[in-house]
Amino acid sequence: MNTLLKILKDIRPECNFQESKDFFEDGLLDSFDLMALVSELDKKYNISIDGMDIIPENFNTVESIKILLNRNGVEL
Amino acid sequence: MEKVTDWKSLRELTSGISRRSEGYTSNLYLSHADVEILIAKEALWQIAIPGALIILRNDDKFFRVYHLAENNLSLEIALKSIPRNVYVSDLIDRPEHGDKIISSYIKSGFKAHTILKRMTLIKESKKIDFITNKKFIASTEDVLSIHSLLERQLDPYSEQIPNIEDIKREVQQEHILIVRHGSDVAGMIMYELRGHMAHLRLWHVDNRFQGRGIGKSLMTIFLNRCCQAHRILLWVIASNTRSVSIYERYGFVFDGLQDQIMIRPQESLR
Repeated sequence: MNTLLKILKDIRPECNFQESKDFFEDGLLDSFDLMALVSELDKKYNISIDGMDIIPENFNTVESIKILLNRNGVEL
Repeated sequence: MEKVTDWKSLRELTSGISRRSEGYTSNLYLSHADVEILIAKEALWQIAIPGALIILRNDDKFFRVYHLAENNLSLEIALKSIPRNVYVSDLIDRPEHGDKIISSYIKSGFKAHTILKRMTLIKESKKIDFITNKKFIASTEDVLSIHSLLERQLDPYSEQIPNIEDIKREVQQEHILIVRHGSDVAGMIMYELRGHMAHLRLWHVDNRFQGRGIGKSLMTIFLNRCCQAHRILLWVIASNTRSVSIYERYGFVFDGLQDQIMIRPQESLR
């Protein structure tokens, strides 16, 4: 879990992700941050997230990212 | 070219484009909700070939092009297969990454049009209940004047001019600020505010009313209304040094993202 928070913090250092219930609704991430996040997750876990899974709903909390990673065979 | 009729079948097509390919490229930044709205409007079309998918969005006067491709060759083949019409594509990336994709578009009859650059203002988020004088908040009666001002002054290829329905929606959310002159709109700001992030979409003063402090007044009100935001974004035409220096005075800085706008005119073909 901490690794995910670190990746998020590297992308947007000024944001407090731990206090957010929805990274996009709370204005912490935008669609270009999402691309950076996907790229980091791909590299970190050696996966290739499906193009149509790259939507805010799958990345709006640490939990939802975790579920997506699990679907891609990553156990956290 | 086929009409996109549902999200699921579009998703199946995009799943067929492997992101594992070394040359993978995409400029598809539409959210699921955006796609559903465009499907309902029957405004999305698709061209699928092995290794590439082109999605075309009908913007009335031209089509906007989105692509997903496993490599530049597949992208070129797909782009060359789109039928005769006017096409515009936004290639958003960091400048060091975008050259090969731009080259694929050029080989397919597109020409480089404008470069937009993104500027960001990072600031402290404040919780202040700022009350805006109602005269600065656009009402439904201003919708046509706002649309007319934007149509008169903006480049439709670079600026994604909102249509009447978009303007009405933003007016309802009180996300358009204006200064009126008689029944005309002398200047306007349109923005989005989501949590701690604001996006300054449009800031324009009618040429006839420039130099009177209208733009500055609007910006001051906008910044006050967005006091909860700690990040404000905007896109500016890179060659417009006057606008860039004004934004810099407010603390905006280039954040490295750029949007190369490509256009394929109707006559330029294959």
